[in-house]
Amino acid sequence: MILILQPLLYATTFFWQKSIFIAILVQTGYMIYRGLTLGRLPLIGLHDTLLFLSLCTAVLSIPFMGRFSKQKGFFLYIAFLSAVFSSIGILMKPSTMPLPPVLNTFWFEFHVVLSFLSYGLFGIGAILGIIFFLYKASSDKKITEALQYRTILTGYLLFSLSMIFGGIWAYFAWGTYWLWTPKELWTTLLWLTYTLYLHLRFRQWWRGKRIVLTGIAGYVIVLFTYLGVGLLMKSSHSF
Amino acid sequence: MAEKEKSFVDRLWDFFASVKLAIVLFSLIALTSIIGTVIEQNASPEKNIIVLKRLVGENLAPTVYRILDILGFMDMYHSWWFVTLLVLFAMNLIICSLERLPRIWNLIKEPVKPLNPERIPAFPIRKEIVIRHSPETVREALVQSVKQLGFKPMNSPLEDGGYQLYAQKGNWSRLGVYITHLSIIMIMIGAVIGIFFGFNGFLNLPEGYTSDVAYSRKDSKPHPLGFSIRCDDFDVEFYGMSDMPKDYRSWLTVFKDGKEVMKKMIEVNSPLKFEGYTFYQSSYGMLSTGRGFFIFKVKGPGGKTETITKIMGESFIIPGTNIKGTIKKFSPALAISQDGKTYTYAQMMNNPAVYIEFTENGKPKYSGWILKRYPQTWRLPDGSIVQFIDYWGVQYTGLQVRKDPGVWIVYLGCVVMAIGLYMAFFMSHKRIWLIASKAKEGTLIRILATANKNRAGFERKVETLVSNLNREV
Repeated sequence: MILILQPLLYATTFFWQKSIFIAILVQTGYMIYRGLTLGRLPLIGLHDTLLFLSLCTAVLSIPFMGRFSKQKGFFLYIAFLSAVFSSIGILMKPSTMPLPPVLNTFWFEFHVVLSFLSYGLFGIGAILGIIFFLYKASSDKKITEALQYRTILTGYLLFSLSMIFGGIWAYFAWGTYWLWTPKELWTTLLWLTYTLYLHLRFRQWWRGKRIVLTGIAGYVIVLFTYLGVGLLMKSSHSF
Repeated sequence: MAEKEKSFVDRLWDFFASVKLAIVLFSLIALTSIIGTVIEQNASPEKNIIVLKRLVGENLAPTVYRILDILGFMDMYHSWWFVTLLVLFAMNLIICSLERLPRIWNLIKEPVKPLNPERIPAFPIRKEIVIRHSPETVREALVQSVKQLGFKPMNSPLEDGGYQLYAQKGNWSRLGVYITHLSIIMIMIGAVIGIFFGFNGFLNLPEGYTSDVAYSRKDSKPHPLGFSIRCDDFDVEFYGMSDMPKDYRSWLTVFKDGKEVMKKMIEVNSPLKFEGYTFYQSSYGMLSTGRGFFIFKVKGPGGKTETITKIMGESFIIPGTNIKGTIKKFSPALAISQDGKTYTYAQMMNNPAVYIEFTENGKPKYSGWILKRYPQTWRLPDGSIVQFIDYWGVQYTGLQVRKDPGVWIVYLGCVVMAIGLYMAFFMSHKRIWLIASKAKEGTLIRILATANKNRAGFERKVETLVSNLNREV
């Protein structure tokens, strides 16, 4: 019941904006409940991580709400993303297995939490990119572009930290910080993509439309790195 | 005047200093890496041919495989061309940075100078206010307001009796980009040191055994460690009564020159380190020729307790009685089928059990299975307790043995990168001038400022400064 409530509440945001807060509360409650019953962070398996991603996206969008109180599109897209993530999440079987020994370290917790926070910010960055195209006035466009840059920059820093923590963890667990698995390579590609984004923005020619599109494209790679690699390729991240 | 012919070195330098090269290399590394994630690396040919069949069709797959194999795609991250791409990328990064560094260095070292009030250049941030006081009366307030923004202003008098306050801060933040680039080079150097001076091997060490070598992953050749290591015990801990492993643990002892120098229990995520080598818990298994020792803790009905070590077929006496137990059978993983028969369900020590026959004065008394993980099976009908502690000497611990002298450079590179990114993106080089000149009604204050990053944020701060001045003075 509480499972179905999560995407439903996000979907309700299409009609009544404030329901996003109820959705956040319900989802937080569910994740805390799961964490308490399992005795560990509920961040293993697609069920957990999709719900957590949905939550991160919604929670991290709160600071933007003031600015976009007149631009409803922003909420609709955020709610849409969170609704999609949580709908797929509740369809996945929750992992009830106890913690495998290799995950039993706080480096893992830092690594995962930071990754999903940055994924959330990259998602908001992509949505800001869409909002950029919805706006007509060039002043609005300019503000949105700058906002996307700062959102992605923050995400980039968290993501860099997450990669460093992942490296430290891998070093403790497998004796090396780098294993050449698809997941790591795609993570690095993702990092390089946003590195490129940050560099391109220094060039006048790229400012505006082009950089905003790069920000949206980055999110496509985020989704592939997170979902595609796990489902299609061999990985050090399948436990 | 004819343009001077550029020397070869100059042209090479220009080639590596170009941003275009950076983008080309970036894209090439990215695209080839993607291919490397689609083709499973170091896998058997059949596996990748199946993948290729799905991508290019039944007929083309073997040919495509052969071409890709010749090009090194089956182990592409170690192929000459991928390494070349990485080296080119490193050179590009270094030379791009060196090319731009002198100019930036000048900007950092250049002290901020007072402006010529007659000819003020166009500044991105410009404000003007007029205050009904003489320049001297507002001097302290102005100095304070600039200090509030974190600047240490300098003073220069104007000809008309006014003065100019000017300051800069964050000029070092311009180095952030170079620190970040340096960190990437550091990480690459650390990785190269790891590849050339490191060791990646394994050691399967049975309980009770000592080894002074580990075996290379590449060719399984023995690699002398310079010390020896003994496995005292190995154990798997399970979650509750399930077969879900909770932890793998090995008790290791290190000997150097015949002397015991270190004792440590290692588990997943918590390795043993000695003289640059790190021993990780990585796997375990049963010895096929295992002949181990059964360890029991036996408590007689009188309460007397003894620890007993026996091999298969041997007997022991329960303290304080005439009851003799003989070890008859062993199962590493005992289970009971629906019709009550016992069988072994795994070859690993998931549920070790030992079958003991007890006799009193030669007459059979009772017999049955005693299970290590089930205390209720330890209790005998007469009240004595036979606790099955371990079947020791039949398991080996699989250790991953690594030496990576470059890892600290890599981590240092990570720290440097975090600092560099922070400097590059969250700090900016800010300069500010306040020119207070005599005007008819008091003082005309012109504020001029620049910031190389986040100009809007700095402009807001300057605006606050202006409104504060308006209010206070």
